[in-house]
Amino acid sequence: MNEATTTDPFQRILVGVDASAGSLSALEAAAGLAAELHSELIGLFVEDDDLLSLAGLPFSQEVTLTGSVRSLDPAQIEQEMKHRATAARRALQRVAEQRRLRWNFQVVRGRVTRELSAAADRMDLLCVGPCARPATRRGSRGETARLVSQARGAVLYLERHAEARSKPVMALLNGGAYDRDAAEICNRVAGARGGDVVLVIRAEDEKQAGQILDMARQRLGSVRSVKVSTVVPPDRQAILRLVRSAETGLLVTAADADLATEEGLGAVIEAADCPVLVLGSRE
Amino acid sequence: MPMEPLAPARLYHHVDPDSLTFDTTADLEELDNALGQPRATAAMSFGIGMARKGYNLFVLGQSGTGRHSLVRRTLEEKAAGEAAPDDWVYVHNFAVAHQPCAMRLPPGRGPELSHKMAAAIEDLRVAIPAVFESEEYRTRRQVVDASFKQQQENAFDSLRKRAEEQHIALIQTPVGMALAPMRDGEVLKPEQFNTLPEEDRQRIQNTIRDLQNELQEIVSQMPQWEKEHRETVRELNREMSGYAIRHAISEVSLAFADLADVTAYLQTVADDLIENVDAFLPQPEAAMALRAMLPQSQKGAGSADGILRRYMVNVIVDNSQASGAPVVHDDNPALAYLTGRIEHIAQMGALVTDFGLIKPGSLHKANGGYLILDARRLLTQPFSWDALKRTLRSGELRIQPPEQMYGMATTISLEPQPIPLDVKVVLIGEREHYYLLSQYDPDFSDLFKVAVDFEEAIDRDPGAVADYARLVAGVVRRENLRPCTKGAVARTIEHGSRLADDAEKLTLKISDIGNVLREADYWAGTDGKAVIDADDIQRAIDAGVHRVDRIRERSHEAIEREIVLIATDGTAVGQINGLSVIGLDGFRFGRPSRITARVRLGAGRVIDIEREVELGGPLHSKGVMILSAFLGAAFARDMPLSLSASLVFEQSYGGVDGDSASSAELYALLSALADAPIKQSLAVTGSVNQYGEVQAIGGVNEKIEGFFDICKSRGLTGEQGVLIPQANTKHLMLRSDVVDAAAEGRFRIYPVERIEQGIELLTGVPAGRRDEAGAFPDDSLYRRVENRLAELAEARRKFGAREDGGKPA
Repeated sequence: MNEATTTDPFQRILVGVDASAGSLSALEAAAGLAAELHSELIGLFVEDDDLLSLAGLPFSQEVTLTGSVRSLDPAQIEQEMKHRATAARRALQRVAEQRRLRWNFQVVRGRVTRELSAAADRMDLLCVGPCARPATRRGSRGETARLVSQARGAVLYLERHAEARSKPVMALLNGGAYDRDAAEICNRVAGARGGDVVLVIRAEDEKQAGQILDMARQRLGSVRSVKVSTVVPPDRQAILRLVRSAETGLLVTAADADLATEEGLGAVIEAADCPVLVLGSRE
Repeated sequence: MPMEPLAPARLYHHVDPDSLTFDTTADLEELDNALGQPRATAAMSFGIGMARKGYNLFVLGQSGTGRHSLVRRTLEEKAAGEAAPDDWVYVHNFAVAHQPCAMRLPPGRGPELSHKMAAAIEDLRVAIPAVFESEEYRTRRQVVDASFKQQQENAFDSLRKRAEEQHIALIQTPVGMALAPMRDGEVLKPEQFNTLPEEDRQRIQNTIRDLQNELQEIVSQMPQWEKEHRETVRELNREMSGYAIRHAISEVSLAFADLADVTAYLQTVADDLIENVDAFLPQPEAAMALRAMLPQSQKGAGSADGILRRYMVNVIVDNSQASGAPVVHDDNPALAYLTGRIEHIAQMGALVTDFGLIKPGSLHKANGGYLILDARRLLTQPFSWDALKRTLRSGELRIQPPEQMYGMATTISLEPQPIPLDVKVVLIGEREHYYLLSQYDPDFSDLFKVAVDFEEAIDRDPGAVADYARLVAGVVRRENLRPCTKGAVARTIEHGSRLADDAEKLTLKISDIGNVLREADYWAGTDGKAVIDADDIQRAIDAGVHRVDRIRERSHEAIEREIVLIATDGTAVGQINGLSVIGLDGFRFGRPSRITARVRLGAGRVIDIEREVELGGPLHSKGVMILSAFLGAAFARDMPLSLSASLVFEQSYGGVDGDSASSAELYALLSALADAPIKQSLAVTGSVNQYGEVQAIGGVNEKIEGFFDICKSRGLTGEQGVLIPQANTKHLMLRSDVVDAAAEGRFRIYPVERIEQGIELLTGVPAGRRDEAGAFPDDSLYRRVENRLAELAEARRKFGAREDGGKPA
């Protein structure tokens, strides 16, 4: 079993699991990162209070994705939640044991966003899975964005899961406070995967770019090779093009970067064909 | 006057080496035509020149007569002057997948098309993913995807917005969405809802019902939006990939611009490629991992590799290296190898196939030329004969597995488009095959109109001897043997006569002559000779006989040890040495058999004991009946034949057939009737007719040698010999030791024309001839026979009278 050390960037990684295909996929990705960073993996299942309240109303009905309508029964919803919680726990146990991870599983009742946000306060990294229902993507994105914005630690945004773990790890560096952490994480993850690192340095001038690169190189000792692209002066579209054209297994960026604003984050996630790890607070 | 034995010179027809006009075969030219086969050669020329339907050839004759080499040589000479036929390929039928299309291309263009298509597909494997990874495609695809998402999101956003205005939330449920009344940002709990005035509750319910209807409407539109999205993406893919595909295919098309069928096919390929462009894109990793576990041959039709297989070109007939029409000899004409086959591969437990697994048969390879088949092999292969006839009759080559051909299975399989067939089939078989097919297969005479009949022997005249020497020279040269001296050639020619069983003929079983020459070359080599001489030929013949004559030795040993009783001296009444020939695996040897006859009063019947116990064949029985007829006609013209005689091959435990012992049986019978002892030092062969004439038989040399070997082992006395039919003297090619013994007067061979001559030799008593009064001389053997028959007739008359009431007739 992996033991955490004080140098590990994330001691505890939180992932919300609800036994849906999307969340199980996110769980796999989170477990992979936890193994690479020697972190404890915490699974949280939220029994949705809103859904239970709705089911208790006499006229409550749901419209399925096939267009049919069925009544909601509180007892049935309760039972379904318990089943899904059990399935989620088993899934977490399986992936954790496969990777010899320390793990924990918690079930809470409340509003999903609020409970995840509350739990994320106590964690170092929050993993947010993709929405299983594309039809309501925007609504879900809004909820997720709010969650991300409320999280005090780092967030791993699992909109897409790059299957090829041998692909390079990319870091977007801008001379901010989280660049060192980003470089350190790249070093750990790429080192564990035996892969390369791609640095995209956003700087006001070449001098600053050189300083950022020197700082990063000092922290990339375990990496086989480092490829560097500089964007001077900062240009969001140029950076997005680089992200889009790269074959990347993980993208690491800082919350204090321009790209980690809610609008910028959306653009990055759209452009990247891989999980996106956002460091630091967005407050 | 006693009959004289044959002079030694008549026992063996020598070839005088000095009559040959060369020293060794190295001085001789090879024969440029088939020796002694003018009829067959003319028929071959006619058959292969006759370009009409049904004029296929059946070459009949004994094996070893050079049928294969003549056919092959003749066909290759003819084919060399003809044009190489077209190539044939099978390609995917994009309209009806299970009916692959056959396409004809000029010689050598089939493989070219195949290579160019494979190269084009390989190029597209790189070019198409590059198109889909380009910035342009990604941007346009994102626009399409975003538009699709926007369409859905707009619908839900609009609904959500109107719901929120009425304090209703759109929330997710385990399998869909629901609308819930909200208060202070949370869903209204049931107890809160129940405290609301009835009017508010009703209003909320009505609002939710209306919104839910809208939600249903949106959800019901989603499949259509998704379909439109897929179609838009497909159209984008078509547009983006179309250029790369058309460019790649046009390069191939340019090379085949002179072939309309090919360019039309390539156009279809381009259209299909555009429709199936996904096959060129990277597959999901899980699918790739699963696929990697499969062998290359099992990457099936449904997979991306399977889809790409449809663009391959399966070259069935490749004449790129042909310099003339093909001459194909199929020595395994099983159906699958004759008409072609559709192979299958096991894939995840099921057998699958496609047009790429169509394999040509020998008919494909011979199309436009000549196909040589062995009749026996063809006829012993299930379904092959029927398939060949059907193919020749229809003039098109259709690949059908037997279960499909006979309707035994109706599962969907490939039905390759038939290929027009223009082939001349040459069947090589034995005579019995030809006549059986002629008699029992009504299609045969329509499809094989030309019989090429091979002779088995030629007349041994000076010209033939000279040609035979050149034939020997040809074998020596082709087989790279040591040259033969003229003595060796002379001995080989003599052996050719012996093999032909006729001193006036030469065998045309060239394979037998070849065997002797090869083996003589071996023996010459062991003696360190530079040439093959007559001794080597003789040694090869003797060694060849020795290798296979174990049975003969055992048979003769049984006689020498008197386990089988054969007397070679003294005399005996009603007992004679007959001669028979035993053939085993091409080796024949003669063996004497004791034949005995007993007579008594009877009703004129000669009992063939062999026949009675079903050990005698019909020809033997016929011989016995003939000698009975001779007896009756010669001695009982005026009285009933009142004897009962029995004839038997003593110690014969196998079957007896042929009539070559009928004269011996008659001699034994006459001896028994006349009570005249027969010299056991003589053996007899020859059949007899109703007039007492002795007729020719087969295997005369082996028969004489068989008796000679027994006599020799017991010691030649000078009294021993063999009576043979006069007509067989021209067949004599006896071993040298027999000839030598005859020359020294220690063994005699008597040519007999009539029974009277033979019986006198055997008994020492003249047979006698009727005088003018019709009576035989008193001391003649025939008089004694006649008297005995008269006594029997009288006895029978008296015996019959007693049975009728005691009154003599």
